[in-house]
Amino acid sequence: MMDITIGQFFPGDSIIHRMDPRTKILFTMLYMIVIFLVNNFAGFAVIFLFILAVIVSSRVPVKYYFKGLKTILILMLFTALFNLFLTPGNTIYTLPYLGWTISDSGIRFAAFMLFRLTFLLIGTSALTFTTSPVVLTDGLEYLMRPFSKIGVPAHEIAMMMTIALRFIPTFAEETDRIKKAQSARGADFESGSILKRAKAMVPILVPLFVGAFRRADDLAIAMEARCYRGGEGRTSLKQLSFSYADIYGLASAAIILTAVIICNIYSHF
Amino acid sequence: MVKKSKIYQMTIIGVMAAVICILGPLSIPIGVVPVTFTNLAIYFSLYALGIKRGTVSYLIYMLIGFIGLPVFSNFSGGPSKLLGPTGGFIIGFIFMAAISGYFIDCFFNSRALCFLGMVLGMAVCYAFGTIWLSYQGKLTIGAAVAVGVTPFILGDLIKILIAAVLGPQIRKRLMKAGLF
Repeated sequence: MMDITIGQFFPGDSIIHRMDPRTKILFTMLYMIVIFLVNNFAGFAVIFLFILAVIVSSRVPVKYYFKGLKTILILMLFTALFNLFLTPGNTIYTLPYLGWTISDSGIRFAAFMLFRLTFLLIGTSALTFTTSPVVLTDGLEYLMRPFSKIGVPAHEIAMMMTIALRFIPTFAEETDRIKKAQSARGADFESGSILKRAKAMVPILVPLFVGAFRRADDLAIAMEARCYRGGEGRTSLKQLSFSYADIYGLASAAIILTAVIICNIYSHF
Repeated sequence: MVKKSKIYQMTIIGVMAAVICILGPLSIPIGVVPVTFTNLAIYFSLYALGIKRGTVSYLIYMLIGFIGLPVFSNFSGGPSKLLGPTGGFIIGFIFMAAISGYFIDCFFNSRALCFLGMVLGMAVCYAFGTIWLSYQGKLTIGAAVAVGVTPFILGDLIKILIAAVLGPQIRKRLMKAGLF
């Protein structure tokens, strides 16, 4: 639980790690759009080559990329089976007794959806594998800044995220401590009906919430005492800057977008 | 409600987002379906903070999940979770928080109405989740409901019941302590 705040970040010094977080966030969004643009397998071949390049150059072990798929494995299988049996087309095989049919377009479609989901999940996780949460928060703040004109409080959102990041380990510890303290006083969390067990949570939740309010109060006073007055004119310790890595990133984004569009138009595979 | 400075509003929302991050990824398996604490944590934060701050703290929690912290159900996180097939539910939670929060704030004294509001919010969340799931997996709406909604209805109703029973106690005690 203590390492929760580094998230999925895998420290390193690869070219992808060195890219500016803003480039990576924009790239991830573009990547997502490209994935939904692809309408044939040739496009997926392009995406596959690209992902291969990202995985290799990020120097994050491949198994981490596949770990994320595990959580939705059942859902993916269900989707694949559903598409396999229920897509109309030329029947190739009929299941005995049940009478369900598999068609050629069913196989094609199920494979297509599986590829799409897998590439979507693997590709987007590269963002959080190579960028630490704090840097990503910075990047998000910069990217949201233009929207502050229409009322999106970019700085405030980033500040609240930073506060939350700061307090997650504290509360993880505190929850543990409260639980032990109440157990020592004879609280029973593990027996009885669901409602009874839920009621046993009150002695944990109330101190947790009261503690949260107290800490928020302390923090607000400390910030006010240091003359914090919001985002205007505020500078940050670490400045984000674009480098050569970002130029490569942008160039490759342009290349895949073009390649996918070409595949969509000319390939019938 | 206790009137406090803008900075305090920011810190309390941030801190509450941290509490949701702690409670959110926990789950207890009932049968084969894991019953996650995420929406329960959202209901509690709504009871503790009210509609506006409660909903914003959920948004912060969502962004924390987006930047890769394992705070979504089953200790998962990252943009892939948000964009993946179950992402619609995560987005739907925003509207669930707003709708439930409205009922909790306006009809705080009536448990039945709060319960109703939370059920309504849940239904809206299901709608978002189902539409995204059926789009992502090219499933029919019926199939998406069967895999993404039906197994979770019972657990969610139990959670709403728990929230409707415990929530007012939390808010009352916070009021007594002069914190709400």
